[in-house]
Amino acid sequence: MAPKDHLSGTLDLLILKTLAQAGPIHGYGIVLYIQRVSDDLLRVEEGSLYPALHRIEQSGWITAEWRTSKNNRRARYYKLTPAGRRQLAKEEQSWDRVVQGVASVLRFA
Amino acid sequence: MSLISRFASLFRAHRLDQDLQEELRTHMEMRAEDNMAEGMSEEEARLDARRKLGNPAVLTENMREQDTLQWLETVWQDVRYGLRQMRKNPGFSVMAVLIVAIGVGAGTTLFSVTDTVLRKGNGAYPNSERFAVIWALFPRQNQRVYNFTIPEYQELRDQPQIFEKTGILVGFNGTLMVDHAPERTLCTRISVDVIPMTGVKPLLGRNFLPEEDRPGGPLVAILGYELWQRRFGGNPNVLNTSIRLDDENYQVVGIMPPLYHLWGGELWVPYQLDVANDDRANRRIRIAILLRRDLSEPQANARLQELATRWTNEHAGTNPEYEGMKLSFWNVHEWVVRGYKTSLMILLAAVGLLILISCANLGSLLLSKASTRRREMALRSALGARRGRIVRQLVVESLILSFLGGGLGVLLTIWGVPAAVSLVPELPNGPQATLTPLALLTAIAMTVLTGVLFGLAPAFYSAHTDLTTAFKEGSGQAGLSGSGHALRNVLVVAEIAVSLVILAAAVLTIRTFRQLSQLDLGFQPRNVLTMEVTLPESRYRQPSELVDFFHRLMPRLQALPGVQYAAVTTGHPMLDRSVDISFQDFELEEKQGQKDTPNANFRVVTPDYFRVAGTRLLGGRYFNDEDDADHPGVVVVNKTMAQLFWPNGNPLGKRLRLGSRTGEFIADPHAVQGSDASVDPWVTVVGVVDDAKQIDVIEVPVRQEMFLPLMQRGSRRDMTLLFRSELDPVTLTDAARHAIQSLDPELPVHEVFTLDQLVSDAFGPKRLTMMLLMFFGVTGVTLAVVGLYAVVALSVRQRTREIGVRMALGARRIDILKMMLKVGLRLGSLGILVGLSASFGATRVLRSLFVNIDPVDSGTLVAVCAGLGIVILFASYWPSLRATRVDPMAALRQE
Repeated sequence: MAPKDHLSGTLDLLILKTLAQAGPIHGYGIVLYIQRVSDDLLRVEEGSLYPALHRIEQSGWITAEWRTSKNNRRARYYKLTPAGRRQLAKEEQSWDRVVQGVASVLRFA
Repeated sequence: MSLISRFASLFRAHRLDQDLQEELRTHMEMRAEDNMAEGMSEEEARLDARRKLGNPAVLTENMREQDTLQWLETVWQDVRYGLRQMRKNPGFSVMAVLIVAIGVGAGTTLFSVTDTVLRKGNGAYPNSERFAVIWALFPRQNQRVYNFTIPEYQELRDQPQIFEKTGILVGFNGTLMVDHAPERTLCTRISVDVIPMTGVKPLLGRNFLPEEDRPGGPLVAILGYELWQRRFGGNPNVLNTSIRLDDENYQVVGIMPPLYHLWGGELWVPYQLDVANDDRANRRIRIAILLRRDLSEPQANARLQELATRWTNEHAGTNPEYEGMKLSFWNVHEWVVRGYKTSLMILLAAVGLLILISCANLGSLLLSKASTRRREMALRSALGARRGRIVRQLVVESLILSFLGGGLGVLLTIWGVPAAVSLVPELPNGPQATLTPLALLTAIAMTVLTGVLFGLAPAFYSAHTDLTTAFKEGSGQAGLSGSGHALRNVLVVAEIAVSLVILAAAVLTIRTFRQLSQLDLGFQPRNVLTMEVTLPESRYRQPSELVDFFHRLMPRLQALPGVQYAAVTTGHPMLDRSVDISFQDFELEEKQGQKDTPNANFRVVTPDYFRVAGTRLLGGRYFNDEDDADHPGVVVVNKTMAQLFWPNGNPLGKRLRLGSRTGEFIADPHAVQGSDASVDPWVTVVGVVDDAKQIDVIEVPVRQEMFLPLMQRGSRRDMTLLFRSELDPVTLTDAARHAIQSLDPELPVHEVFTLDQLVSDAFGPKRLTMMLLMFFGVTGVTLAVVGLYAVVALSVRQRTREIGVRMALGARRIDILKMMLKVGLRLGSLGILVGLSASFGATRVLRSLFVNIDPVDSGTLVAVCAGLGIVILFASYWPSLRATRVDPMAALRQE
C-alpha cells in the first residue's frame, strides 16, 4: 500500500477500532461511541463519517446490513471483516510509529 | 471490492442512493431524538441534526462522484501503465497485436462470408428446411428425372403421410417489355400453393388465387423485389397494372420481399395446370413439396420408396421405364447453397483452429513476458499491492493488446471479405457479403475472451509468485517456474499439432483440386467465348424464321477477325441445367415395336459445334453444311450412348426414330419448337464423339447424349453462341454483338462468359476451400514457428549461466548447439506426432468434400511433416546458434 496521509487516515482508524470494540453498530452509534470513549475530546464530523464508511466498505474492510435497532428503527449496522481486522492491526502499528515519531520530534524541538 | 462488482456499482447507483438516503435519515432521527431528550424543542432538535450532518442530497451526490472517479482513476492508471509497458517492449507489443489481428481478422472474415451465404436470403425461407423438389431415378434409361407427368403429380399430391403440401414449379425465360425495352427475365410458373409453402408472404399485394391457377384463368404475375426495384423503380403503383411478358398482358397482383429467389426467378405466374391430362409419358412439370414436420429425411425417403415400388407394380407393364424406379427429393435451399455449406463449415473449423493457435501464441508470449516481470510483480506485492490489483493490472494490459489486435482484425475483415468473395465468383449472395453484425459481435467476443483468458493465465501465475524465490532468482532474466515451463511447452506443441492438421488438409485439398482440374472434361474450355440470344416471338413467329436467322448469322460470325470457329447450340455449356433435364425419347430401328423407350440428353447444334468445343471425334464424322433439311436426318452420339445401345456393334449407320412415344421434343414444353411436323423422325448415326461433361463439372456423371443438326431439327428461341478464338476470346464480345445486331438491331445479347470462366465457376466452392485452407495453413505454421522460436530463444536466455559454466568446463560449441537444438526439436517432433494422428481424422472429413480422394494420403502427410520438420529445425537453429556465441566469462559474471 502506498504511504498514506496518516492524519486524514485517522478517521478510518477510529472507525475500524470502534467496530472492533463495539461490534455491529450503526453510523450514529459510531459517533456516540467515539465521543464517549474519548471523554468528549474527539467529535466526529458527521458529514465526513458516511463517505468514510462508504470508502472503507468499498475497500472490503467492513460490511453492512440493515437491522432493526433496539427502539425499533431500521438502521444500517457495520461490522469488521477479517481483512478489516488485519488492516486495523496495520494502521494501529503505523499510527504508533507516527505518534512515536511526532513525540521524538517534539522532545528534541 | 472486485473490479466487476465495482463496475456493477456504477449501474447500481440508484439503489445505493436509496440505502444511503435512508441511512442518513435514520441518523438524523436518532440525533434529533437525543437532542429532544436533552431538552430541545422538536424543531430545534431537527435543525441541529441537519446542521451537524449536512445536506443529505449533496452528501450522497459527492459520495457517488467519489466512487466513480476513484474507479475510473484506477482503471486509467492501469491503462496508462499498460501503455507504458507496451512502449517499453515495442517488439513484443507489435507481435501480440498482430497475432490477435490475424486470428480475429481471419475468423471474422470467414464468419461474415459464411453468415451471408448460409443465412441471408438465398432461398432461405422459414420453411426451407422442409422445402424440396422430387426426383426419380429410372435405371432402365440410366436417367435421373426431375420432371413428372400430370398423373404422377396427382398421385404425389395425394400422399399426406409424406408431404404437408405439394406444388408445381417450372422455370422459363420470358421477355419482359418495359417502356419498349425488352429484358430476358427468369420466370417461374408455379401452382397456387408454392409461395405459401415457402412460408413467405408478399411484401405488397397478394398471392395467386385458386381461380387464377386454372386453365384459361386470368393472366396474373407476382414480381420479385429486385426486379420491381430495377425495372419499375420500386413504384408501388405497379400493383394491379398490366405488364407485358412474352407478348401477353399480365396483371401484377403481388411483390415479394427482397432476396426472395424462389427457383432462381424474379417473376412468377400461375401454372394453370390442366388436371384432366392423363398422359403418363409427357414429363413436363417439376414438383415442389413441403415435407411433413414430423418426418426425418430417411423416413420420408422410405415412404417415397414404398410409393415408387407401388408405381413399378402398377405401371411397369405399360411404361417399362418404371421397372426398378426410385423416388427421392432434394432440398432446394441446399441446392442453392450447393457445395458451399460443407466447404464453409470445414473452413470455419480451420478458422477455429487458427484462433486457437493465435490464442496459444499470445498466451505463451504473455507467459514469457510474465516471467521477466516476476521481479516487478514481487516488488509491487512487497510494497503492499493486493493480488487482485496485480491481476487486474495484467488483465488490463492483455485487454489493451487484444483490443488493438481485435480492432486491426476488424479492419482487416472490411478488406478481407471482398477479397475472399472475389476468389469465388459464383458464391451465392457473394456481392452482398459484408461484415455482418453477428460476425462483428463474434469478433468482439473473441477479442474480449482472448484478452481476459490470456491475461488471467500469466496473471495468476505471477500473482502466486513467492517473493523470496523471485528475488533470489536474481538478474532481470528470471525464468519460468516448472509449471510455467510446462504450460508454455504444451501450448507450443499444441500449436504445431494444430497447424499441421490445417496444413495437411490444405495440401490434400490442393492435390485433389489439381487432380480435378486436370480431369478430362471432354472439351477444351480455353479460348472459347459463349453468349446467349433470345429471339422474341413477336418478330420470329415461324420456326423457319428462327432457322433462317442463324443461317444468315453464322457466316457473319465466322468471318469476324480472330474467330476460328463459331457455332450455335441449345443449352449454355456448364450454365444451363436444362440440358440434363431435357431429353429426347427415341426408338432403335432394330428394336422397333418394343414397349421400352430409351432416351438421351440432346443438343441441337450447328456443324462447327464440336470444333469450337474441342470434342474429340471417335468415329464417323462431324456434321457439315450438307446436313440440312434437303438431306436425310443425321445424328452424332457420345461414347456413353454408343456403348449403352450398341455395346457389341458399330453404331455408325444405325438408325433411330426420334420421339417414338410422343412424337415431339419434350425439351421445354413452353418453348416454341422449331421442328416442323413434317420433319422426318428417322435419323442415322453418322458420328461418335467423346463424352463431355454436360453440367456441373465434377459430381454429375455423363449421360447418353446425342447431337442433332440445327438445320434439320429447327431452333429454340434461346440459343447459345460459341466462338473459338486464337486471341483472348473476351475481345470478340463487341464484334459479335455488332454482327448480331446488324441482322436485328433490337436483339439483346446476354450471359456473356468465357468457357474457362464457367468451368472455373463450377470449381468455385472447392477453390474457395483450397485457397483459404492454404492461407490458414501458412498462417498457422508461421504462428506456430514464431511460438517455437520464442520458446527456444527464451530457454537460451534463461540458461545463459548454465551454458557459460558448461563452456568453461570444456563443452564445445557443437555440444551447446546440440543441447539447445534438442529443446526445439523435442517440442517440434512431439507436435508433429500429435498433429499427425489428428490429421488422419481431418482427412476423413475432407473425403466427404471431394470425390476420388485417397482415404489417407500418406505421401502427402509425409511431405507435409517433412516440410514442417525443416521449418522447425530452422526455428530452433537460429536461437541455438546464439547460445554458442555466449562468452563464458561474461555469462558467469552476469549476476
